[in-house]
Amino acid sequence: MPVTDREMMMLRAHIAGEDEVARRALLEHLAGGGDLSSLAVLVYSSFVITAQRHFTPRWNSGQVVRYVARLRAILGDMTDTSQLLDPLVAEDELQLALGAEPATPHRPFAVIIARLLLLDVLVADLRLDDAGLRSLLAEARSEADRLLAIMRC
Amino acid sequence: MGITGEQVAALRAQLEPDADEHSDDFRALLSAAFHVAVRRRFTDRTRASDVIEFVGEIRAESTAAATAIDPRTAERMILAVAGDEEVGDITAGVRFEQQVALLTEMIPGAGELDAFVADARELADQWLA
Repeated sequence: MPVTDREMMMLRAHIAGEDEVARRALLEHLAGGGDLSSLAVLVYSSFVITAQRHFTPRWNSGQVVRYVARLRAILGDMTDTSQLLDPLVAEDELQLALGAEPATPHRPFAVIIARLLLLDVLVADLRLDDAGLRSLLAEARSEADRLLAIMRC
Repeated sequence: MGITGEQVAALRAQLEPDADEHSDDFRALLSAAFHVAVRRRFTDRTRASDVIEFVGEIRAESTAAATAIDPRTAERMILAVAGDEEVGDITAGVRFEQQVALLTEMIPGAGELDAFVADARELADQWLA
């Protein structure tokens, strides 16, 4: 099943920092029998696109390590949030998004948290206006739909 | 028993590859060197975010450092010296490995090395007395 408008709204609300809107939409989505697989793929595709925009055309592992450390330093005062982000998972996820070979598998929960937190800061770093954000989300939706179609085969 | 000149030499050697001297006294000397190195760089007012960025910076310098230094463990060990972090749950073996890995990146240049090793020796002697 392709990405729905509600899933797009949830992602947009998350990126915009409208956590209550995102939370309410998620609860409604789950109450309506929706699962999280399409949303997870949408988050993944958004994360990969923003990571590639930020780090390409050239990147190295040192840049990735510094980036994750900077994010964790920003989160440092928010103890609960900073503890949720596993730096090694975040580094592996970023490098994987940039085309590196898959590293050691990590816990799914740690992976999704890393992608969500990295997505927030990557989007912020891109300094997109509304049109830019709409374009990014549309690209992510298209890529997520493509991946979901492959997964169904 | 005090720290011997040989153990001080071993500390120097530990900062080179392939050194192998892991007696209890030597571990104390290495731990003291780690304390001195942390105290030279950080204070009681150091924030966790400063330590996170410092560890990130040294891990970013090489793949070897990124692999050898576990960021969370390393940050906690630094904050245990410069703050009030508890590290009792980290095994002695892991603490030793991380101290060696961090010290490799934290020792001062040649001009300050003698004073640094002397400070580490003095602290280790205090601990062992």
